[in-house]
Amino acid sequence: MTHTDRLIRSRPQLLAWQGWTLSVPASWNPVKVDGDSDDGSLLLADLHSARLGLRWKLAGRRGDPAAWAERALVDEVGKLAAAEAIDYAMPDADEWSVSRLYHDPSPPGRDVWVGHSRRSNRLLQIVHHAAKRDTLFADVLLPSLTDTSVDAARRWAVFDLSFVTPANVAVQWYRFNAGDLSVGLADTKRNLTLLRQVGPASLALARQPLSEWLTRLPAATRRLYHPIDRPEPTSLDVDGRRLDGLRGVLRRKRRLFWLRTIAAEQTVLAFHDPRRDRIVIGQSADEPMLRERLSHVGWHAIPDGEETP
Amino acid sequence: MIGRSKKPTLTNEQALAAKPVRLVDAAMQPKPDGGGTLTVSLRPPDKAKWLFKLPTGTTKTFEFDAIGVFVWDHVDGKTSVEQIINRLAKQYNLNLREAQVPTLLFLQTLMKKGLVGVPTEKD
Repeated sequence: MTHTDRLIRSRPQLLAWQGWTLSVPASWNPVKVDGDSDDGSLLLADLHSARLGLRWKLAGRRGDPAAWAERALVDEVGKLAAAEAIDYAMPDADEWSVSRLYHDPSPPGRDVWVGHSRRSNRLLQIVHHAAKRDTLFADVLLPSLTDTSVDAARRWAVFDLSFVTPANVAVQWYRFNAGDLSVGLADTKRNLTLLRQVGPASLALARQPLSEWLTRLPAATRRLYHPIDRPEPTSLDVDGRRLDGLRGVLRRKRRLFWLRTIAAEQTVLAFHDPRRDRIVIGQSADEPMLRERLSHVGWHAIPDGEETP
Repeated sequence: MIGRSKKPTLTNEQALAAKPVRLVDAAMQPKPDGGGTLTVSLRPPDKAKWLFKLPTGTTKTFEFDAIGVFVWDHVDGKTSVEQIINRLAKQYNLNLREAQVPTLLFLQTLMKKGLVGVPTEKD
């Protein structure tokens, strides 16, 4: 059995970030995440070394994607090697106006793919650190690459956290600590939503009850809002299951009445998902919207055969 | 710094392949929440025994959470750090990276406290 076969059989995990989705081996995880939807990069590594690097940039309106691809290849591997690159046929050929692949003939080395997505008008460069010659990059990783239009809802899946955002919502900040992953989402009207996932819940709840997870707020929130005094039970329907949780209301401190940009009230919801063994916490001024966002958290963990959002 | 020998540093590969061993002979007392407490007897430092006189029977207790107990149980001199990470990830359904970071940090803490050591080639 080859290395590629083993990785395919070991059920790859889905990585979805800033509109890109890519299936990667489960042992590869992000170690560096940078930038935003228009310009950014992501580095994946296994326990031993860096394995895959992604870099993307919004293409200019007048720029020629083919010329950019050629330039990017030359910058990465040099002029002589870039001349050996071939056109690579992506499964969805209409989506990509440029798709060029360079295979390092004598690994260890770097395999480089550059492409231009018509959906988002972004240029993408992927560098695969190949330890030995296998077909993983060309046969498994690249065919799984997809892009999402800026006007469409986006799926996100990084580490164990996955969620869906509507078209006009962007990830404003993220904090990925081991076992405690949180993101801040902002829409065009500057409405902020906080999503947080803590796991494993069996350990987190042994440390402190769900009510403590609900009421223990970040320092930035504590500065602006009174603490939650009376959490009340609530529930959330997620793909046919009912999650039990708690609901609390944050009230802005009275002396900050003049801060109109800060919502007077915010709802905080915390749910225990026993099937995934995770605690999901959300905070927003718009409760229906927050419930809708929370109902999509963990979409990538839905078993095969069930409908994803 | 003058007069201070440089501590040996491990590469990532060496750290993952290392098989940590326990440096104290103490039994972990389990707690109902899955964690445990480890009570070790203290001894004065070798170089300045006359300065730091400790009463006999002085002990220090370390509190471990469930993950800490899991890691401690696998520190046996036979299991490598990479194996501990893989087993922890499997046990708690964690991402490998999520398991790697706390495991390495925890082992470093245990090494600083003198509870765990990593045998070098000279040993």
